[in-house]
Amino acid sequence: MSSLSSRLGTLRGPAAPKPHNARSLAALTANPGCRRRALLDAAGVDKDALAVHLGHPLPPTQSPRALSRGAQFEAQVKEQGGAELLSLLRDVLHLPLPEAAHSDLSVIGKSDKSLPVRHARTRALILEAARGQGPSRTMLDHPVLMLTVPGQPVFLEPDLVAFQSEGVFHIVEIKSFAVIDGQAPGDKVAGAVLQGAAYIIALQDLLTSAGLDADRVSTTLLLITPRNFSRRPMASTIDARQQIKSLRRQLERLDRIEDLLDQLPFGITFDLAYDSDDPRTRTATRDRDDLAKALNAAEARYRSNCSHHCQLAHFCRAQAHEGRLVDVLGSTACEDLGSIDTVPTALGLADESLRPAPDQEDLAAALRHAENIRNELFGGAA
Amino acid sequence: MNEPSAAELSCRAVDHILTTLTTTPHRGVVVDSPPGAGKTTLVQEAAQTLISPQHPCMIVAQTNAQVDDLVTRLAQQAPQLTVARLTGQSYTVPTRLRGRRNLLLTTDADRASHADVTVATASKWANVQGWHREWAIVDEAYQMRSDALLKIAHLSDQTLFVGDPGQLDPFSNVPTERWRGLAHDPMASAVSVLLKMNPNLPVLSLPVSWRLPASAAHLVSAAFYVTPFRAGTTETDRRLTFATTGMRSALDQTVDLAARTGWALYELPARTTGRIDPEAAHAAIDIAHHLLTRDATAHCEIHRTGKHLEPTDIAIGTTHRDQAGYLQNLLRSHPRLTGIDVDTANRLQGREYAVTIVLHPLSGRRDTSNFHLEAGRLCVLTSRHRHACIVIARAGIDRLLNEHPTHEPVHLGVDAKFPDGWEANQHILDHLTGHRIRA
Amino acid sequence: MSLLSTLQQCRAANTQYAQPLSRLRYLHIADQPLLVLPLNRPGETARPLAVMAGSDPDHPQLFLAPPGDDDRFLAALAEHLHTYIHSFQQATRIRPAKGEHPERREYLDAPQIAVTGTASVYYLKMLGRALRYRPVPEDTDPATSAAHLGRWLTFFAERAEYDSSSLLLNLTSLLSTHWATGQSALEDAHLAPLMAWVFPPHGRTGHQAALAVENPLLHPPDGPTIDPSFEAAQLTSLFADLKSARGSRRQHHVTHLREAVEGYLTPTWTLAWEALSILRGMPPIPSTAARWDTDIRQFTTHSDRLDAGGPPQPKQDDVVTAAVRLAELEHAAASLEAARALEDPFVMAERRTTGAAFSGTVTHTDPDHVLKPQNPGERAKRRPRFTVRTTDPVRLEPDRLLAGPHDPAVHMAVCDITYTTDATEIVLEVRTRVSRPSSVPAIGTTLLLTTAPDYFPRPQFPSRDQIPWTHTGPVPATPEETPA
Repeated sequence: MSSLSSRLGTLRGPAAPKPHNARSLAALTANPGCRRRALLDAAGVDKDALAVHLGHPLPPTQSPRALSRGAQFEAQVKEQGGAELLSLLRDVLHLPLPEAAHSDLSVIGKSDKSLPVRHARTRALILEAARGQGPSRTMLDHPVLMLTVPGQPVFLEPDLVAFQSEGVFHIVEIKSFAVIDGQAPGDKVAGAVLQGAAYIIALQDLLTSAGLDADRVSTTLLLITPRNFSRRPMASTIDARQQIKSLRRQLERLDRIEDLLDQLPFGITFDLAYDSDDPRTRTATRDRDDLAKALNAAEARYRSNCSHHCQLAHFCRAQAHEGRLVDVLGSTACEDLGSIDTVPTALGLADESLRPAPDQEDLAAALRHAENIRNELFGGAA
Repeated sequence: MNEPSAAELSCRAVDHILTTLTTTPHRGVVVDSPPGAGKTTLVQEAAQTLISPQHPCMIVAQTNAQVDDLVTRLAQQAPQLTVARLTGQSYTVPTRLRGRRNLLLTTDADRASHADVTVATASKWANVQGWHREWAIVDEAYQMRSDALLKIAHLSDQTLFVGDPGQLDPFSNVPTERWRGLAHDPMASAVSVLLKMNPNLPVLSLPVSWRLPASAAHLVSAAFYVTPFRAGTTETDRRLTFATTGMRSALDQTVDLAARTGWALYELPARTTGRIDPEAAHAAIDIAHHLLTRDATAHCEIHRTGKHLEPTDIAIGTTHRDQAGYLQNLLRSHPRLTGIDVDTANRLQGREYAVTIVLHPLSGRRDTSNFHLEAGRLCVLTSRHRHACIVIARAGIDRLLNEHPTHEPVHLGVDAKFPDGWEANQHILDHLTGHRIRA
Repeated sequence: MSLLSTLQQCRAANTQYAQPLSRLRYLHIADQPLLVLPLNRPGETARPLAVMAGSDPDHPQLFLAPPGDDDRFLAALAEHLHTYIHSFQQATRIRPAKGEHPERREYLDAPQIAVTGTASVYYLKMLGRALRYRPVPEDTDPATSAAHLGRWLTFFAERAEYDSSSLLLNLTSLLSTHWATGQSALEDAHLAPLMAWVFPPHGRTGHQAALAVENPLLHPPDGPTIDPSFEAAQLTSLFADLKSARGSRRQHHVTHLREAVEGYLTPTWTLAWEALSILRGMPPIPSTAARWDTDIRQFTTHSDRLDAGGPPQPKQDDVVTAAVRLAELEHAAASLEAARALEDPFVMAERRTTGAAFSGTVTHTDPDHVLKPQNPGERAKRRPRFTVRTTDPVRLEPDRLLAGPHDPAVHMAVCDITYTTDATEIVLEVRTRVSRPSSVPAIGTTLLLTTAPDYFPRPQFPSRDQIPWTHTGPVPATPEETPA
């Protein structure tokens, strides 16, 4: 049996793996039951390109202006050595953080190529601080942390790590959505906490790998956002313990991806068969039906909210529709229909053109009853 | 060093609580009471401690059934006290409460003013005017909504809040987002708002469960509770025996295992089912049947020579009301089983049985949902028994838990719940897997 | 939701056309509602780029806020909303005193705002919060100020928390009570795919039409979030142009921006009016008028508050306000649900599939049944009884009160339930309106019965200055504070 990474390489084809980031790691927890998703993510397949080639692209969901406004807000908060940030952190953490102790790792470089170097430097600075050896820094700007997802290093770039010499490390997330009168949209906060959880895990692993205690990393995430409708920053604290546990579980599952690989037919690949190596000009030549057939070997679990976190959502939805699966109707209908997987079965049981399986008798009776009432209301077959 | 016995622990805790009540400068005291930790006894003793002819007290419970139970026990066990039970106009008091010498039944608060202790539901108290007591005792305080407490808090100077923090939280069918994160969220439990507003109040706890057998107390404590508790009895105190040996069927093995170890997981083949899983429902009936036809006897510290297991000693717990309704329908064709309680977790709160049969909330589901994963639900279902708990489930719950998505919205200012539903479910499932009988 | 609506959803998926659910509406639809389509500026919180508004389908007004022109935009929008609202503040009537409510003057009608969906309701709420504490400039009429605009938007958004209120209509949510589609609730939450199912263009099925409108560049989705593809294709360069331009160059770019936004919003505008006209065509259930009366009363109260120069709505509910509001929300939801069950055959039918209602035939009557007194001093009471036989799967508990559309005022309690192999027999005891002839139906009558509305006593909460120790905290509510 070949090594895991070569098996994943076969699945992906010759294209370079799409690197993970905190966002994509966080998305692992969105639909862990989907085998297709798990395999594609583990192999680093470009799901976007796959969806486009299959004719089911997902319209972009990220506003360009929102992105740049976010970057602006982050820059504003970190201005002047993070003076404003420092006073917020003092308030929230109740810590006597000393002034002027801000290290910006972006001086090493900002490109992806600098990631390993920045990570090495981050690691050194953090361990130094943890052991109380270096100067007492309070803020590490643009640090780079690392997680291994299966077998591959994933570089993570938290907004900021705050720490106190020989004290506790805190992950700081800077987000541009506003907190208004203490409330913020629950999905946005959840996204921030899951990303924060990835950073916290990476930092915990960094410390434990050096024989230090994981407890030195606070499991409380510090969230910096605009206050109300202004651009003034404020800090909130969020207990991230549940998200940390849940993300750890999903990362461990990714490590067990071999179980899923074992279930695939031999030699299967999701390769798009590009005609050249140049990402700007290349064209995918893979036969669509063939690709779809390959994807079918990895069972998908389509849910109506998939489009929120998976680029392949519309392809899987089209497949679910073709298979007449009740999943396209949303969770309430699925709940009501229990063991009934397809729309024709539901309707067949309702109008008695199908005979129920022994374990479906009661549900079938309920459907027949609903069908009778339906006919009373709307008249016979529409 | 000798470890103190459960009885000593329990006594000390109760003494400490009663001392605190009589000496505390605070206006409130909270007592966390895990399942079967003697909450009702504490309420009773607290009432007796606080009451003197000049100092009558009032008790607030959440449902009429709870009030009825409380006044029955108070009137019986403290014959020197006069107990008044206030009711609403439309409520018909059960006949078993009528005709007791020291129990007054009335809809009129004025008529109750001379009683040593007056008991009513929170909603009845909310309509009582011109009433005042030095002490009030609020029972099942974790199931009381904070808006309900707001209506009655002025009726007393000091208040003892007693409740089980592991059970289900109050809920509402209307949108309540606007109050999320507010310290005084009217939807939050009375205790949670009370403690947010008064963080210095003493919070005490009862450390011993007298209901749960040794086989369950540690597990339930570790899975659902922040403050640990232990069993009041030992393995040898509680025994379930059968007069007849069964066949070698899976059902017999299941009841045998439950009798021997206090737990059994009767596992049906993996299958997605509707809310109603007829096979699981029939299995529940069959298990109840086996328990009764094999003439089970329950030995415990109260019935040392054993008590014959009757249908009323058994409950079947479900998640949804239609599941309970389906089972009740099935029971009608089994006259031998008449008297078995079938109810949802919500309605089994505060109840106690010798043996419980539980339909696992996640059994047969396509996926998890926060409702079905709620720690309080599983806690209620797995902590009603004195002897054994038999869980019926479809195979595959481990997979459901593995595949549970984590993308629920997170709200600022709302405390994350610990232990959370996922962990509690995993904890219980790990344990049950060691007690599995495949159908 | 119920198995009945799930079944209709399956039929929709199967036929590829939307299937009917309820055919009666429970909300009031005004003759001239004000349709409001907000678009937020990307990357900002509650800061509109544009609002298309108006009560004439043929004459939408586009209010545009090009970068740097927020104040003028807000003034124009405030003026427009004020003019609309003010037209309802003319005619009044006197409502006679009733119970503890003294006689009072009320407006005859109330304004009604329509938006496309839940996201827009939330947006108006946020915009209201952003504006309502703004100071009113000295030389302006407060009624047309941004602050008053904020207070009105807050008023509408707060009323929208009540399902029973028609002041702020949520079109997708309303359409979804009348049609089942073959797609999920997430997709139904957008006006274009929902309307595609309900009214597909000629030659296309609902399913095909819904897929067709998924391309955001061809079919701009409803707001308030601007679709990122449109932003990238048009707005980004327009914003860049505007940033540096002055004078007539700027005017030129503003015109372009206006055209782009108009083109973006117009399809939704057209769809929304179609949706409104479909909804208006549905007959209302009888209790709709009473609920609209409540809305008119709320509108009058809020108008009076503004006229009297009262403070803006607080940022958060204080302890008592929160508890009172929760009680009111629960009461309104329960009475709406009860009214719909008795007045809308579809809702009754849904309840039959869940076991909370049943259709049955009267098989036996005992009109002279007498209850023996329970306590000394009580008199015997006449409590007629009758038996109903049903094949519906009922799930009712003894003592539960039932009512039916034949005479909603008659409430009867479930005394006994007998199950036979093919039917259920339920013995009922009449508890209210005992002397009405209709309280005991004749043998052979078919009855529809469901659980009667719960009795809701008006809850007594302490006054704001007497909040008990359990609920007073270190942070007292300070509604007057001006926020950042």
